[in-house]
Amino acid sequence: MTKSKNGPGTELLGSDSSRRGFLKGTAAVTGGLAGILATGVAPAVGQERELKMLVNSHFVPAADAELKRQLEEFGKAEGVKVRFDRVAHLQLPAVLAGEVQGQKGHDIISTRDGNAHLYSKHLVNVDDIYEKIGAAGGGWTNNEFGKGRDGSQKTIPWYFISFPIAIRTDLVAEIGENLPDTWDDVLRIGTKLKAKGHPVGIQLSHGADSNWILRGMLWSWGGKMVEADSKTVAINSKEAIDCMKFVASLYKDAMQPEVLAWDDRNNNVCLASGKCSMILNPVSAYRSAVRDEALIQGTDRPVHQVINHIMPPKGPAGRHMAAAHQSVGIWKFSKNVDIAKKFLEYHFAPANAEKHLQASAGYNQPLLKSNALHPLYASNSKYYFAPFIGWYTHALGWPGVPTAAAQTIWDQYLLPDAAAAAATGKATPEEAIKKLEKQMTRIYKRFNK
Amino acid sequence: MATASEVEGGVRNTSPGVRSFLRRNLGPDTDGYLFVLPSIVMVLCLIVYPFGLAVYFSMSDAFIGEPMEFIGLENFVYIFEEDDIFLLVIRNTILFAVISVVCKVVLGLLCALLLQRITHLKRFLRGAMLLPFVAPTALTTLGWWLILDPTYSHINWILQNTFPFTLFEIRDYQFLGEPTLALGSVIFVNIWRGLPFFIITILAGLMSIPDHLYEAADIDGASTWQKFWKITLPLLKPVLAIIILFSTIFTLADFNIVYVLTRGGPMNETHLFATYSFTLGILNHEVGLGAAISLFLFPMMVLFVIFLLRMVRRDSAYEL
Repeated sequence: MTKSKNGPGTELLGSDSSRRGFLKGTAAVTGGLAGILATGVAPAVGQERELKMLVNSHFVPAADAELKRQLEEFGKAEGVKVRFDRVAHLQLPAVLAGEVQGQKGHDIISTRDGNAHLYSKHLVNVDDIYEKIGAAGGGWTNNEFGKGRDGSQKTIPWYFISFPIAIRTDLVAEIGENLPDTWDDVLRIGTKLKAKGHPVGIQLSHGADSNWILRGMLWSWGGKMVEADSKTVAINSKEAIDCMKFVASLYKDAMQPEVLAWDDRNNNVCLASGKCSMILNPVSAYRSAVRDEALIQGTDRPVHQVINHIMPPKGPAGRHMAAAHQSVGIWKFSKNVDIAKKFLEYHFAPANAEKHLQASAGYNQPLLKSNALHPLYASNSKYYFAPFIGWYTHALGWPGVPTAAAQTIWDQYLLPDAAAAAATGKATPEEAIKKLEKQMTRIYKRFNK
Repeated sequence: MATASEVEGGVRNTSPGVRSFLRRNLGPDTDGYLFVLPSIVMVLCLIVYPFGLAVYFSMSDAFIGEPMEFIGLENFVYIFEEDDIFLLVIRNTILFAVISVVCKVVLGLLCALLLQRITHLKRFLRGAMLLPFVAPTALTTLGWWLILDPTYSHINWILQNTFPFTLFEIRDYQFLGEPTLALGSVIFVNIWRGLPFFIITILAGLMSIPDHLYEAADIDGASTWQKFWKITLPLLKPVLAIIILFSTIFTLADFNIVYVLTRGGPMNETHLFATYSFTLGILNHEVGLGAAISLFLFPMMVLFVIFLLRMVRRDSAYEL
């Protein structure tokens, strides 16, 4: 074996000249990559126009399939490459936050509720297409939704996801009760049915459903998180404390501790499997039962036949419920703003909007007036609630508008945590509300600056 | 082929003054420095820069998508004085790390000692033992998530439907819903996943202990316990210290298991530093607070690493 001139251990490196070649090559590659990273511009050969869209995975997958089809059809017609990405709905806030922080990512993004306000500085103004789409669709049912901090339209309202009671009508009939109309009815019927092994299922956990339903309950008791000015924290009230007391009773008498660990899938499973007597949920639980042909335990009867949807219950201050309001926006950092706007016009054109609504099997409840009484909702008695639930449904931040602060409080699951603490006795209702007020005040202070 | 004079270090094209300066400070062969340069650049870009940025963020009111201002130690004061979840996080992390690591050491030692005695199917068993460790964490944790499901836990089903458990009318356990059980569940899954690393490493340590020590002990009439306490354990100490060090670092920084199983719930009772920092910094957009929480672990880790490395150094001077 020849001894290396460079000392022991260097034989494997080969000759000195190849070492230098290696170093030069490495330096060239590193320099090239550094250049691309520093400028943020790919070499000309790698540049091709690509329209990228990000949505959260739809609870009715056919809706995503239809949206993807439209995007591909549009891309073909316009001669642009397209990409359709989906993430789980609870992951979407993290992905949006990452894209804003990095100023890189998709062109068109699915947003919700207060995102337009939260990311106001980072979203393109879409007033022009908002007007056009609204005019073609008979106007918007809610003109406050999708506004940025400067009052301009930052996102196009897409659809809302309502929360009726999804209930096992056969179980209610078995105990000789009528369908519940008030929260007291829910507690009374739920207590009886829990004793028979069929509890009520309302998440008190870090899930979207929990956030919506608890807001609806709070409003039904006359409580509110914030005043109509969207700036003044108003959670610490007798009504809010009474609501928390009711949540504690409902948890103790009509629910099981599993609701503390539920995500947005568990209540669907609980109803479709025959365990839960009632949940507050969009039609996806029913749709899953239909799709899976789930049977009532010990019988040949499909459970979907005995599930129906009724209006959310009335509380002392009336019937109120929150809903997820979905919208779509375009990032300012997008290099395809013009083509992205064109796609949104294409997607919201009446024929395509109709196809998307049909594909969602009624899950997407329209925010365009022309579709509010869509024949789909008359096609199945399980959907009869749909055209009317909007009367009782409010967006995040009600009686104010969906703001960045309201969205942040939603994202932090502060209300579900307060309700869970009150329900489990970890805090008294008064303590839970006081702590929530403190947490909310800090966040509102930041955004009210 | 380069001549000897050409290959004498990487300084041949430099002026005599610079050459002597480099030789004096870096040694005769500067090529070595060029080879480690990419690694140094990577460490600077991927470790030092993000760390510095995290320190800066932790002293700012950084919020995703918003301009930030320097606020000094306000975030640290806030998490200590006002954020009661943070105190839970400290408690959870200590419990999680201590229980996990202690169980992994004890069980790992026990399994390694048993594995050492097995003569048949040795290779198969050692390979199979590694499965939980090599399978992707997110995937295996999803499996546990289904097993511990709040509504349809497989464990509850077995406890309620199989003999002899049916004799006791066992209630539904909320493995992910009841705070103590939820923390116990994430600790259990962490032990299940990390145990193979301990078993295989301890086994390697056991095999490196010379047989003649045991033979000499046998001649002296030592019992099994005496051999374990006087030979096996002292000679395993350096190996144990290193795996405890690695495991503690990985356990303290664990994210996947808690995020997949409980997402920090119920009521934030299973949050660890990593998950709470992610929740505050990314999901809640409060980058400054998230950075302050993640940095809290750093001084604790440094002290722990110094302590363990000193112990290893002291034990490496062990004389037979």
